[in-house]
Amino acid sequence: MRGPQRLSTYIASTATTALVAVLWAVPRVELVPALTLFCTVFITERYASLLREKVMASLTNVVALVAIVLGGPEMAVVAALGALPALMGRASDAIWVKRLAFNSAQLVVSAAAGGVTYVAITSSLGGVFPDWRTLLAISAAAAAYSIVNHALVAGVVALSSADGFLDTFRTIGPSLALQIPYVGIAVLAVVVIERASWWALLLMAVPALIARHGLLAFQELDQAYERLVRSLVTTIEIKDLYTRGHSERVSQLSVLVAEELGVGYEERRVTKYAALLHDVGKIGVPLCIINKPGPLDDDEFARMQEHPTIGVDILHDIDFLQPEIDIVRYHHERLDGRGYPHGVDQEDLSRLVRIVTAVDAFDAMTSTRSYRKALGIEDAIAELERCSGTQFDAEVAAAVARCVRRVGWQPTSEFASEEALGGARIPHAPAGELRRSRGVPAPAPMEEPHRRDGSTAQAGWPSSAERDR
Amino acid sequence: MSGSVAWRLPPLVIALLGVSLGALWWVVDAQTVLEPQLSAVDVGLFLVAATVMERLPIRLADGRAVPTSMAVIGAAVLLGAAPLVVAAIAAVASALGSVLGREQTRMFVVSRRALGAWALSGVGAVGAVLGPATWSGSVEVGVPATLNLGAAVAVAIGLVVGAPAVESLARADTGLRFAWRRAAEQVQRNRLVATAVAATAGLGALVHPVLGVWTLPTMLLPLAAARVGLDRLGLGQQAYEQTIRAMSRLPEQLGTVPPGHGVRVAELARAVALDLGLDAGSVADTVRAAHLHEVGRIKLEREVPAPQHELAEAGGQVLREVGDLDRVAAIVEAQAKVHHLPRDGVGLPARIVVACCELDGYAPDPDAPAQRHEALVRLVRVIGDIEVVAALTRVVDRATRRQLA
Repeated sequence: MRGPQRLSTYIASTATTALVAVLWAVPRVELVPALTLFCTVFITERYASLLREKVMASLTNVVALVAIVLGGPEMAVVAALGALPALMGRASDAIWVKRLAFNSAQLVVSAAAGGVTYVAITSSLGGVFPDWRTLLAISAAAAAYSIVNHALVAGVVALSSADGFLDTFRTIGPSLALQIPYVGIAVLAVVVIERASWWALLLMAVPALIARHGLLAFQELDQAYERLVRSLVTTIEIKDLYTRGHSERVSQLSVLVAEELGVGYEERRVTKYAALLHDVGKIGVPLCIINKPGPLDDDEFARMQEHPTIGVDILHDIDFLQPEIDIVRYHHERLDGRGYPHGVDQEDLSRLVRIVTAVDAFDAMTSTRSYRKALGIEDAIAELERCSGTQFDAEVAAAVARCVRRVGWQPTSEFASEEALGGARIPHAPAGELRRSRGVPAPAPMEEPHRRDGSTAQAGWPSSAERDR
Repeated sequence: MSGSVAWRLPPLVIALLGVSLGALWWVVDAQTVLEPQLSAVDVGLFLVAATVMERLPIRLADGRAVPTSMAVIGAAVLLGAAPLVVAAIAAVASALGSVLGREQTRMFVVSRRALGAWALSGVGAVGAVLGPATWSGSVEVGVPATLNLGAAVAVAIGLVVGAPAVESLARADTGLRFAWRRAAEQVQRNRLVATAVAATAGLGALVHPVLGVWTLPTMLLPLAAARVGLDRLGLGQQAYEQTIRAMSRLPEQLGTVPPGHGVRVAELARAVALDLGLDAGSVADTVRAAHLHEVGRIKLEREVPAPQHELAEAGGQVLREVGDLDRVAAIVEAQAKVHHLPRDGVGLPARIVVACCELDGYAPDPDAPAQRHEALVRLVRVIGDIEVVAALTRVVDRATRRQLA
């Protein structure tokens, strides 16, 4: 019971501090400007928009800074209180009272800290707005606001979860960087309010509203785009009896792995779509080859090998995919240069390519294919690890293993029924046994994806039974 | 054949218009109204800011980039800079911007920017003379913010309505009939970016007396925020259309459709739809449907040749699954029954797509009128709509003339 108690104490003390600040501030402010700023914070908090996943863009900071300059800490405290009714509208779960109390209290305390910093600097340095002394004071106030805000949130996260205080506090970097434009906008707003008129704020609000409109419209569009790509991929896959849902799974798992490896948001987004579309070139491979139960002969395999190139060809004028189009082009390449169709060296394989290659192979191993049944998750992880260094990137393979264990990834159960195969037999054994039964030497890592291991005469290509599609 | 004569505002007319607009500044003696507020240092700073903004345009869905540097230019106009100075800032910023981006400096673009800035000065001058006297904030301490409201409104109208309309009129190649509709659509497409740019120009002029050298870095921040949202939206819309174009290659991979067919049909269909005066939304859907008119093949059995109506139906099914392309799906489905559909709704787009599909790959010898006649008769028979065929002929003739020239 110690943990929850400490959490409650922490929240209670934050709330008490905020309450004291509010009780001190309210009698000291001018009513009309304070009410206006209070309402403005209500609006900015209510309509905070998602800049992108997990990053909220809200102009509350700016309003707090404006309040600080116009009326010191007392004005900022009253303004920050506007968050309380705004957050109330979002209350949904069992601990909403605590959440609400903490979130609005921490804003009030942060605003007070910023205000005190501003007043301390201006009273010691002097200066009339907007000279450099006051600009320095505003910047310091913004930094103080941001630091206190982060520290309070990191504290509550540390008390309520396993994450350490510093783990959360470290994310302050981007937030401090965001303060720079916020300071600029706040300065602009103060000039407009003090030297022009409140209505002139409209000139500032117009671009801000347009920015918000653009972000919201983009999010809607992004969902529509996802529907477009998904339904397209589904339509293509429906013809392929064995890989239904494969692209979808590769996309999902690749994004998880990319996140695990610290890949940034934009790159993850490109990875999501490139991975969804990585097999789109299979449309150019005859279905009888794709759905052929059992091994492919050399001609058939040669056709199969064309699919990454065909995919690149189909996707060549989708601009945003181009920086990472190698994901499609090289998803059957190997670190040791024995992959297909180009056999490129590992220097050419970017991190994102390595992620999708490993995830593609992993999903292929854990799904039933026309030439063998699915491996279990742990067996597939063991295969990935066994082949890392030659076929897959070791770091990526380890990240795949961590991700699938963490999310409880399951082998794919949805595959072609025995009837759909028209009586063709699917070999039951895992990859290794299959290889032995065909009399192919065992040192070859695994059958997914394919390699040139020198075990056959034909330019080092493995026998057809080994070839993945 | 009046419709076949491409009507557009010739560059010379636009240049004359721009020059005379700019000259208005002196004619109306704007200097007495718009008090010059820019020092030499300020002009240098404005140049730097305009150059930076040249590198930060906002891209729209159709791939065009709207320059945000016009916000800086607009502010300079409102702060009473002479047209020559404004035009010089615009021209130098445009040239420096292309050097910074390691692009070729195109004299055409540079002179267009200079001319646009020059013209904007004239527009501002007219507004200043016609509008109320300069507005000034009432303050107890410090310098008040000032703004010439008349000039500000005129510059805003120039940026939001004038510039996109003139640009559209200069590009119009679909005949006089639809030039104004296209101009209105262009204004509509640009409105958000242009409004943000115009508001920023006004804001900059308003706060400059107070903020001095700090004006530019602060006034451009809200615009930069707008750019984050709008540019991302524009890129997303572009990706959507590009993906549809990529989808046009799927049936081509199956071997039954010649490579590049979908893209060529879509280009033709866009030109025909514009020639027939369809609204922007219908043009977009016609182009999408043209890209995807064979998409049903990826659903059907590959080895068996499919009759037209099955192909159209399968294509419609594929597209309906997307959820957002129902109108495009309807156009694709309507391909099989173009004879029976009324002209409104999806009938006309479907006829355009079918006609362009028929024509693709058919290259009649321009010196053999009999061949051309035969092709036209066949098209009319397939489409059952002589107007669509006439528009298609106009488009093809225009393209041929352009090729010959």
